[in-house]
Amino acid sequence: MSSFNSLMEGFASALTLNNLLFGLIGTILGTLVGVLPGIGPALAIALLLPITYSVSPASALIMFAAIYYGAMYGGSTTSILLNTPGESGSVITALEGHQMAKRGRAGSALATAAIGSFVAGTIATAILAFTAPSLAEWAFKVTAADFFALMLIAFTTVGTLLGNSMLRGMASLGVGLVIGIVGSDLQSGAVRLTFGNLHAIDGIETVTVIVSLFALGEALYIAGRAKATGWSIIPMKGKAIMTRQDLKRSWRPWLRGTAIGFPLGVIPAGGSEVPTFLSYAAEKSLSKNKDEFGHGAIEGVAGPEAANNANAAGALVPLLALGLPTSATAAVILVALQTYNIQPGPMLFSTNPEIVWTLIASLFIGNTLLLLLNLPLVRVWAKLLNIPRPYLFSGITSFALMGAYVVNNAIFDLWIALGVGVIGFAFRRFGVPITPLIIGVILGPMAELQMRRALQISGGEFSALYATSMSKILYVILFVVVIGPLVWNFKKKLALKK
Amino acid sequence: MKSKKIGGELAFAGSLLILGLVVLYDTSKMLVPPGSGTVGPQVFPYLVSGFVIFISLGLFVQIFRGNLGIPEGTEFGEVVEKTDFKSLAMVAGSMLTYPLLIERAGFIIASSVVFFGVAFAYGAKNLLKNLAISVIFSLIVYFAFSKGLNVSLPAGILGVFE
Repeated sequence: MSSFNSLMEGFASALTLNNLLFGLIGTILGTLVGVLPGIGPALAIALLLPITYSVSPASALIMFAAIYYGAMYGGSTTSILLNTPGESGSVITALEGHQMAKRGRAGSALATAAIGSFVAGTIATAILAFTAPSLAEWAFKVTAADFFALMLIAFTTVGTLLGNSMLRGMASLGVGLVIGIVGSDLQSGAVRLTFGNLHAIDGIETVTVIVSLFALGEALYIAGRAKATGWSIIPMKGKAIMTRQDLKRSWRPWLRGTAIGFPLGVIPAGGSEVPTFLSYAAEKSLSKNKDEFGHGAIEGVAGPEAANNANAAGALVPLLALGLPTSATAAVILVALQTYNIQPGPMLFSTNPEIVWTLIASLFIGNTLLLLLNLPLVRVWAKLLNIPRPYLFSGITSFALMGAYVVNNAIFDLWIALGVGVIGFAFRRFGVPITPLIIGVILGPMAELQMRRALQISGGEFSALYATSMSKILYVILFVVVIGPLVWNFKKKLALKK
Repeated sequence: MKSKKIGGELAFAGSLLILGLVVLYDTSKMLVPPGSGTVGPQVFPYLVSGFVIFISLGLFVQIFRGNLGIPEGTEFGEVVEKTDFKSLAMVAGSMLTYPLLIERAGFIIASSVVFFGVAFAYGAKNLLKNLAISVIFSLIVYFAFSKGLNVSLPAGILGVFE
């Protein structure tokens, strides 16, 4: 019951008038930025980070949670009205949702997405509140070697599951690991990869990397490689409400989506692509209206949208309890927490309980605010889609550059940002996924720390890395994750040859 | 399909190889402070450099077997085969002005310049309208952040008006 009491205290600290105001601002900004095509939740949060710099931790957290959910919701609005999924998690939503919009049912699609996201987000946050503390308690027993093995699994799954080519995912991870090495080594003080630059000794700012990889890379890529074709925005007719019939068809997919999305967020499964796809497949096979799929079946919006949100909340479990981000968005949240000197991980629940519980309570509040705000305002959001492409990209670019600058007020960070922007361009051009790089930058230094801890204890004996029973199990899982797809591909090739 | 323009791909894999070699070289030349313990600051970079070099070699093999990367799709229209270097250079050039201007000329000017430049490169035809939007956008951001949120942005040469 102590979790419950702590959660109530979290609500008490989050629910002040001042904080609610920040929550409201966060919801508006998050949705605003999330609706803009080309900006997914990870970039939206990274872009809005500077805003939270000057407010108190509790206010920042609630604003942050609101931005997080707002950005996700905004993304689904874009998918439905514009058929341009802002992130991989909304691809499926676009599939059915846009068809619904074309048939004049945009209101129902938006409503089922919003209410489904709310239901899934609330259930998932509740599970998070009750599982994360026990996971953190258990994590105290986890040794450095186990942590290192866990991180290798995270690297591998993120690197291999995203994008079309395993090798290219790994290339992205490798570049991220290199960026993570730059600067002075915290344990020994040795200076690495700085080439005599004094600024580089402090390392490369993660926010800078994220913002420029997404925003500057995209701006360069679209300018150089995309031919402008017009958008076909479906005008919003009527209100975003659901009929009784819609509700009857939606509530089961919401719950199923939650059940699929949450566990896949907890384990490092490489983001929201897999769960939304699985949810869609499940709804399609269970539906009585199979023929509607592909032409705007409401179940195909309700399920994946719920899965997407539950998955996002699930990703917070390893983030808070183990300090292990498993998606780009979770990585950005980690960075944001670090700006407040909050280091997620097993210690967090005992050292900063008030912060964790305020954050969790904020998630509930943010989610609720969003529902209250978005359904009535959906027409206003839809108007944002009319921003002409040139101004959209100028806005994104100058905002991203500002974001890179204000972290330290350093011009050095801007040069880094431009360099990373070029990497972002090259990655898109050569089909290399971006998320593994971000995970590499953030998890790389942590993995090194755990590896050295484990080896320090053993006196440099490498067998220490797989000495515990847990690490042994983890390496078996790792082996399956790496080898499994390879064998499967090989078999497929053989079958094709026959 | 096979011999079709693999130059860019090779350059990409090559840059990755060079990156790995640079890490390897830097790590071998690293000044290791005394008392760094059994597992010093070199172990991890060595592993990473090995990993990066290994992956880059794998990419070379993949490329020569005709397995090229699939350029990422976008939500902003069709992906074209040939890079539009003119637009690309204009956008990159506008971005380059930002670090040069931000502290010398101040946020408002730097932000307006990059906004104007990118919008122009993206085909904003009406120069006057573009200019007006650039300046208004930058003014709003400047005052919202520096006055509303206490995030300090350089005032630059326009600071005299405050």
